[in-house]
Amino acid sequence: MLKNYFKIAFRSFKKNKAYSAINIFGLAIGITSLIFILLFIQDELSYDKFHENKDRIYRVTGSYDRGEQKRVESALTTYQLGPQIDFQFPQVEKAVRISPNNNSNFLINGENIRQENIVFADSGFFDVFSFPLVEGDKKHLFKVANEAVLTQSTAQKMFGDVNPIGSVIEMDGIPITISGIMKDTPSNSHFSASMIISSETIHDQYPSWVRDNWSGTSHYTYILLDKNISPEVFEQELNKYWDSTFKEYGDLAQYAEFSLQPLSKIHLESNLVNEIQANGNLTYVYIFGAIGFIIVVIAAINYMNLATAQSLNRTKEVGIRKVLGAEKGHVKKQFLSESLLISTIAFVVALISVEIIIPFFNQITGKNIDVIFPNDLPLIFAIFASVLVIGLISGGYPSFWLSRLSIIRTLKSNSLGSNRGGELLKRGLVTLQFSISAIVLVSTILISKQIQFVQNKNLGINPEQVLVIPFQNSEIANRFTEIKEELIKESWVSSVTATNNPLPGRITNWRPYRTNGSDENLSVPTIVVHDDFIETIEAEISEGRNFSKDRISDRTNAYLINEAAARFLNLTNPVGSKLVGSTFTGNEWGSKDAEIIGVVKDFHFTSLHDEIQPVVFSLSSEQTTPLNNLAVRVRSEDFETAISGLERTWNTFSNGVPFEYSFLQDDISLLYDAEKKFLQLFSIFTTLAIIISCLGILGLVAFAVNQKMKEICIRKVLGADVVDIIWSFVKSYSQLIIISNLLAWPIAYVLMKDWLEDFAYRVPISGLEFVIAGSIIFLISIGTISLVAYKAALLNPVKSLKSE
Amino acid sequence: MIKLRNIDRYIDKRLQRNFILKGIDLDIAEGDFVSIMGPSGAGKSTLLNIIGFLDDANEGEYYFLDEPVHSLNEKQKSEYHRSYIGFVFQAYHLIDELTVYENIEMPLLYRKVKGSQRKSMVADMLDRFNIVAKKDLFPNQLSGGQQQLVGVARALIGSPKLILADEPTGNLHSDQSKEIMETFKKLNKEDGVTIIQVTHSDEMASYGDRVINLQDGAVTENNPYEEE
Ligand SMILES: Nc1ncnc2c1ncn2[C@@H]1O[C@H](COP(=O)(O)OP(=O)(O)OP(=O)(O)O)[C@@H](O)[C@H]1O
Ligand SMILES: [Mg+2]
Repeated sequence: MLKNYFKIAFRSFKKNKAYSAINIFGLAIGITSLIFILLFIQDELSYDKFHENKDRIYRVTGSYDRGEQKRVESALTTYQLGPQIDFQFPQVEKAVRISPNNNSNFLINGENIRQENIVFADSGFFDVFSFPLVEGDKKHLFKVANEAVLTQSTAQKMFGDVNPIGSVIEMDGIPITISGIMKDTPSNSHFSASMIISSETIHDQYPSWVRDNWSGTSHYTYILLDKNISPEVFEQELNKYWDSTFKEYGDLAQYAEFSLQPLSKIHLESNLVNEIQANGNLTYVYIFGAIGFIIVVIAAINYMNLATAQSLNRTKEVGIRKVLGAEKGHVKKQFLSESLLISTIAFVVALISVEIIIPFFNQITGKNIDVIFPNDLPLIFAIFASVLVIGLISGGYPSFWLSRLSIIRTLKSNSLGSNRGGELLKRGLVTLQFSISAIVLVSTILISKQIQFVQNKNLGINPEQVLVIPFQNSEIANRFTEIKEELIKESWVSSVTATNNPLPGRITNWRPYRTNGSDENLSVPTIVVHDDFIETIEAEISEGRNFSKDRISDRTNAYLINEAAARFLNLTNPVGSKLVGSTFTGNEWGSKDAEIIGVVKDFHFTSLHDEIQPVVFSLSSEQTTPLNNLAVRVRSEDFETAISGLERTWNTFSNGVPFEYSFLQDDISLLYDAEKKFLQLFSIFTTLAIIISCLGILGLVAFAVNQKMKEICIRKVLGADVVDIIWSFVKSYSQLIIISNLLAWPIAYVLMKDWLEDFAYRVPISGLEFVIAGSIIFLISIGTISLVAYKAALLNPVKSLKSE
Repeated sequence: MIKLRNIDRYIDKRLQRNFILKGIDLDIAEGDFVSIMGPSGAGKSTLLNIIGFLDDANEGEYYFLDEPVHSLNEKQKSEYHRSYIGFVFQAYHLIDELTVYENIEMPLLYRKVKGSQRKSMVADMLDRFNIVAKKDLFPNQLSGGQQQLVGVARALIGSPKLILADEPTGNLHSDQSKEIMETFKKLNKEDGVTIIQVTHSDEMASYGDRVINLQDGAVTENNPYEEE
């Protein structure tokens, strides 16, 4: 019997090719989107789950006092915390410190190779984390200093096919022995590494504020907690220990408060200062989940509408079957199995599409998801099961309706007419579908507006035509004045400066400051800059004056602050005020009591997610923190000349260290990478949702027109205008579209308001978005409707009346 | 076999009640070959539909094989359709998407007949109506007469005790009509199948042995041939 059902199903698909194609295609797009969204979510949820001890690994994070009741929640802790925990707390099996180093140069077989993404780690690294070793024994690794483990791809890059075990490479003159090879860090790890070097190796290189100062924030600390100890209990004990140990220091005791963060929550739920690498965002996971659900609902509604419409064509068959002895149950079973068949075909089409599209998907998301078949059978089965459920639900109504038809009505064919309940349901579902599309479209418009706003917002500086060159090592940094002298001779250079802080980047170097007459120290982030800083980034001085090269005293006796700092320090007349601050060379503290000579208009150093921080600008001197980055403003867009000129100059000072640069503009837009990826994915899925909706409308209208073909022809013979005929269709759908937009707008408003809350600086919701979204939907669907109706209205009436 | 007592079939339209059938009393015995005749709109099809459980009477009693039809549930009615009653329609009512072979086979599927047996039964039918060569064609590739042969074959394949035919030859030429009627007559005489047909033609009616005349929903003349 099933064979008979499928045979007849296939033949009626063939007979109504366009309809079946729309139906299967719409459903397949829906399922494809669902699969991708599930893959995305599955990957986001899988972060750090590959570690064997994942349930016992915690990251220790700190909340640090910055004065004035301001606290900073940071992922970093002090260098000493790890060994202290190891030493004092037997309930911690192992504590490891990690410190990433973005790039370093290595001398390998006489060749200078630059390597990014290096991680310095304590000896317990491979006990706590489960990064599989290909070569080397984790029992003996990192017991001594000067050892490194390379990932497979780094080994390939550095040594080619030669086995590197035992080879010695040099990092800034320090010899390091390769003692192991690990698999590449998987993409679903919250930090990645190209090589791990034992912490001991650079212990002596750390400045004293890192090594000896218990209040520094420089390292990530992870612990492997005994399974019988609850993290809350340990957290309390750690803070108690810390407070009692530093009781006599007063300030220092209150200074830090530690928390434990479960490893598996870092990627999606942690949003602290100084995260080791950019994390995911749980909100986005929810949003994508919701979109997946929405797309499936739209596809299912579509399918249900089309199947219901199409079932009008099958009533005669149902009548005949009943005359031949079919019961209601038989009819239901037949049409449900037909619906399951369509869903299954759509599922297969979707699977094939997924396999084809996966590389593009990875490109957009930056993920590394493998071809899913047959790797991910449980997921595939789960999706197939949901597809069958979708098929059953959406095929349920038409089969129920068909099975209840009385035999005589069906056999009298033409007198069947419309089924009012079904018509109402169909209009309801179409309205729902339009509403969802409208919500989705309004959201897309607002999200892209916000992201554009964020990118084009006046940052307060002009990042165009500025190149940033990291010094890479202190030798080069020390020759900055010579480099600058060389560069400003070039005609294409407009100005040259240097800073200690990355550009752009979160400003660190919190230093205590005291204003005139106050005896309270307030911590303010500090940027050490060289001459021409304000000129190079084109920031604006809103009060007072800029640093001046001609005044030697500016070097030691002048501060610039930004407007936020003026507010933070409670200065109503900042220019001329005294500021008692300190300097730190990395080894030695000094004091810098200086005058505030000017106020810099607020500008964004970090993404617009964050409010502008207070900042103190201090001119570089012997006493200040060393400079790290060279910044050059060039005169024209002729970057080729600039880059090759910069490289030439660099090479005369760099002693073989390769030249590296980036455009400030690019670095800034990288801050919005997550949003951009999100927007890209979001737009793709919303476009799909709207396409599916339109397909559904197209199918429904085409069907309605077909049903009414006779009426159209008679009306035409009676002298109706083509326009009248089209109008009659447009009118009935316009109502639905208008109602559904009115339903959708408040919902979209609430959703978007909520999303925008996440940004410190946001676009206003003007209302125009709603009108635009409404118009787009209106135009697309009315266009579709008119086109189909127009084609019908133009048909030769005699011909189509004959065929009736 | 069939016993109708005081059957009414009406349609309520606002304040007015329109009778399609009124006070029908009718007995049809097993083995009868009955023709229902009467002018258009007299209620012939309605009567036939009530007899075949496709429609329900509003009033009156109907016994089929001594069973009160109003107490049959849907499942039982379907069961009768599967194994007792065969229908032949003026408009043939074949399923367009199925071939001749598959159309004829269809009732057997609902009767859960085994595959091999099905095959031989359908082959028999095709043979009997001389349409073996057409078995893989679709209904729209056949002439009207051929389609009706398929319709008859489909009605007969379940070996029904009763055949209900609503103007089976209404759309056919006389040669084709004769062929169908001969088949009915043979079935009636040789296999004892009860046949009730609706027809406008005296010639077709003459194949049967009893005529029921219907006028405005009432039986006006019963059994004219027997009285002759
Ligand atoms: N669903 C209905 N609603 C209203 N009136 C109906 C309905 N079905 C049938 N009728 C009416 O009942 C009467 C009998 O119809 P029926 O089809 O039984 O006639 P008939 O004798 O078979 O005519 P014909 O020879 O033209 O086929 C007709 O007047 C018809 O208009
Ligand atoms: Mg009739």
